[in-house]
Amino acid sequence: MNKELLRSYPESNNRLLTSNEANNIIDRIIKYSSGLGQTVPIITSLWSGVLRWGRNDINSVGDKRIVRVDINRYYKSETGRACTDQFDDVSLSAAVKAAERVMGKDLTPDDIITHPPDFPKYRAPVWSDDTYNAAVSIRGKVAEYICEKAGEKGLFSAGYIEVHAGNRADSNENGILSFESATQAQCSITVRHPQGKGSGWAGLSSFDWKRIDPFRIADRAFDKCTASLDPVKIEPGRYTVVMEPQAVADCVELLFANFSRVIPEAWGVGPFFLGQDRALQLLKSKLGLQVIDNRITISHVPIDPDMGQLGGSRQSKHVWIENGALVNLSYQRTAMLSDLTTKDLADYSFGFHMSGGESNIDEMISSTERGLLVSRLHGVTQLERNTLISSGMTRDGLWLIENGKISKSVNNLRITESPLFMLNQVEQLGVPTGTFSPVHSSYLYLTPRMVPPIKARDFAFTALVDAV
Amino acid sequence: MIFIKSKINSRGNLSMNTRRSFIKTSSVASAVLLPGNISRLWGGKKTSIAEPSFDEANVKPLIDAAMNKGKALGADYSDVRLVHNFEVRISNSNISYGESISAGLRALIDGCWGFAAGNVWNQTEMVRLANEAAEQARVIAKVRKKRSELSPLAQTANGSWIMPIELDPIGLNPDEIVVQGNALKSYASNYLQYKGASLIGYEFKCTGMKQVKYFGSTDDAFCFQTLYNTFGIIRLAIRYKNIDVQVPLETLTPAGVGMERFLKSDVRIDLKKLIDETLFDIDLPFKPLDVGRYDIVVDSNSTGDLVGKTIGIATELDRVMGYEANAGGTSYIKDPDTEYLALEMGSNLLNVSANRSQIGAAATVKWDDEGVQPRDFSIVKDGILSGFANGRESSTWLRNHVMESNGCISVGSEPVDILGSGGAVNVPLIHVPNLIMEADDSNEDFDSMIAGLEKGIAFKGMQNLMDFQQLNGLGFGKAYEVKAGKITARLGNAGVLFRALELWKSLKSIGGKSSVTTYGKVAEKGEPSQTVYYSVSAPPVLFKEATIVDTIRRG
Repeated sequence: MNKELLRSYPESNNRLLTSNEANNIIDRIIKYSSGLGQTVPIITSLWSGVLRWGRNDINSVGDKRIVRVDINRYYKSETGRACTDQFDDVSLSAAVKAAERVMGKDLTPDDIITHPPDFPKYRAPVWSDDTYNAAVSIRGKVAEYICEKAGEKGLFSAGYIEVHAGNRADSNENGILSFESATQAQCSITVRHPQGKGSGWAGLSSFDWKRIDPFRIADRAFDKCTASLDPVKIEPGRYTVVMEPQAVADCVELLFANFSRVIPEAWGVGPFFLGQDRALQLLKSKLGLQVIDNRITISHVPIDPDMGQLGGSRQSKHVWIENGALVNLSYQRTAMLSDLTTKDLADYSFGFHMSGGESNIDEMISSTERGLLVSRLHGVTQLERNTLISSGMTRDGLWLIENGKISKSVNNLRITESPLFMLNQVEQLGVPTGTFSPVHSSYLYLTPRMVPPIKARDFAFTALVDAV
Repeated sequence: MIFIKSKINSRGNLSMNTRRSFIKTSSVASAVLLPGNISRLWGGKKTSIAEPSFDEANVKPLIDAAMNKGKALGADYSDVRLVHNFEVRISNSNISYGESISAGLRALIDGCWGFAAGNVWNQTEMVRLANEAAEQARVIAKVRKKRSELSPLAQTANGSWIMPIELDPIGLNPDEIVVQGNALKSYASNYLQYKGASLIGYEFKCTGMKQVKYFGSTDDAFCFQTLYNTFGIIRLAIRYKNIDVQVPLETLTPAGVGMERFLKSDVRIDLKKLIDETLFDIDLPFKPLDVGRYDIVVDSNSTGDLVGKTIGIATELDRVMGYEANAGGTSYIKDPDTEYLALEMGSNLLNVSANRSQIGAAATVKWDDEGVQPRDFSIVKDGILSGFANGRESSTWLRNHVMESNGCISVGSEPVDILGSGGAVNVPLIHVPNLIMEADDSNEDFDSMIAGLEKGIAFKGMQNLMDFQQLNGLGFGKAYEVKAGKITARLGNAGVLFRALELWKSLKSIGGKSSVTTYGKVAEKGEPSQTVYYSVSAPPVLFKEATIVDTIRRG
């Protein structure tokens, strides 16, 4: 055939769509749509560069650029949706027509996301040029460093470094309402003994590559591996735990998913469901009641430089739990405004900041007579939806603390515990730090988590686990 | 009323046009036209603009451009995958479409891999991908100590293949499925009323995917295949004797079949069975669990999950060697060179084989994503480890055993909630193939094995939470107390705490051939994570003296 196949966006050698290109596509989508209702196109353009190694060997280096447009057609309670990644006239118009053709089928009145009028948004920076320009050679140096260091000691290193960046154009029929860019960098490194006699891990994710010190992460993983060699078995049971921030984040992740008003007040389930008021025929939530330790506040301040999120927020601060009491739950814009007595919107958030205290891990260890130091948790799966009891296991380093000192490395243990129980049995809290909580490179949003190290009592370890 | 254009015949299939018939079709009913421009197939109008279309004649020059550039840049080997993905998603009566084209290119230069991927199909882009991959490989070659080698190919991939199905998701009027969803709702509602219960909620979701994959390499391979995958779930909320339960129909798991599976009577039969089982469960008395050791009978869905996780995933060679250590973990197989053909994985009743040729299975292909024709191979024979899932590079890793690639390389897709997600944007990795656990010659099935159990527990629909070496696990699902061969009570929060090697060694008996059922599963691995689908066929089995615990007791 004599005509080149489709598409020339983004212009060759540009990794991401520019604002003008996005504008052009959106104009054409609006032009092709006909009929009543709103057309909401969302254009996401993503680039990611990865470097992966295992067994002290770099086995995968890659560059990926994808663009996709999500065309949503809304009219009252009818929705139609089509996604495509080709922007020539024929494809775009056909996609819009396809979305329109399937409108009018779903007659359940769901929340239709209508775009609110413009008003100022609070947001911390989410784009970093350092991340966008973190070239392959920089990533390769980190891998080279840890592979050599681990190799000298007869250990195996495996790890992953990824930088990704993207643009998102979000519009309604009046033109672009927002064109945002964000970056994310992540670095995670595992060092382990070839016969499985020990393993250490460290990692961090952030929008800014400069905040990640990959060589320090590599050293930490290496040190933890050497400290975890030749673990011994101990009896499962209830222990006082000193949990590093990563372990706390792994445990409490399930709790964040429950900060929604729909779950207790519409479905009548979940950890924040209080009961049914039969007289008023209402399902009541625990809003206003104490749910966890009164030293903990879980909030999100959009202009906090550690808490940058795509989209920002109309509110200058969200607080879900204040000094242990549940003060807010999020809900969709249009959904329940008529049912609720408040006019204030409580948006969802992907990022959370959990307040801590003044302590630190060394202090927590020295104040523990007998306990366990946990690095992180793997595979935390919810088993019960009202108490949030979950099953999971420790990973990459577990140490026994005796009389204020780390005495020996021990085998991993399976946990059966709930974040709510753990947060009610807190003894000491440390200073919150960033954790490893990256988002897949096919999405463009950020999930910053600032979590403190926590010392808690009576943490339930229910079985031995062979895996090291 | 949707008016579908004339190209689509009454069965919802596109009819062949007069292009040269390079497409080998085994039957007319499965003939599909490779798609023209995007979304004409969603029932759109054909325009008068002469659009380019995707077919062999248009794609081959692109592949040639990429491969020639790779050779010019000094690649020892290079391959490229061009994938056209289509997806239709139906949720109750809400329909969404997704479509994408993607290209992913690998280059092996100076023994190091580089990879580049994008969404554009034209000559400029192909050259850009080749350049990008080569550049990355060269940067890494400066720091990498090892050099990758590939095992030789028995045969270069040439030709084409279409997965044989009846109803293609493209072109099928999605209203047919929506109407079927409503019909099943009426059926469930009526049947429940007949049984003295009522349907208080209903959800019907299904997805149909189609992938046209082109593959080319510097070994002069060029092939393309059309693959399908459909899956769905139906949820019923039932009220019976003042008890409200929500139960899912879990038989519509990922499989290489077309949309006809939602229209067949099998779904109705399975719904009836699900309702019967649910009402039976509600009628059963409830008993708190006595922890301890019991003989357990698990149904074929549960066995399949165990086989997939403890055997299928544990024998991926790259995982065994430690390349997945930073993500999913490692395997309990620590030293493949010595444990190959020596490690006792279970009792001599355990025989597990792998393939990518099973008709209707989710991982079935004609060529894998490296251009290798997969072959059937044994993973466990009479309880002994006898094979690994591998690819061309990994098959050179074992020192003491010369292996060929089994054809287990796939490019997984992006996270499943992305509609029509790209099928070539990820790096090719070893993934689990279809697994078959051999059944007995007897006539045993789940019910007869329960009947033969004097005292024990029966599990249905077990899911297993494994550790990061696929060894220690906690399995839980619907649990029933069995006394004197009869189910006497439901048990609350019963779970099996096991160590995979010991569990398979305690395998006492397995069901017969007629009790084998095939379930599709999802597997995720890699960084960034990729998702693939595979099928497991297994009979129900009996394990002796399994450790039963209360899953939510905090000890």
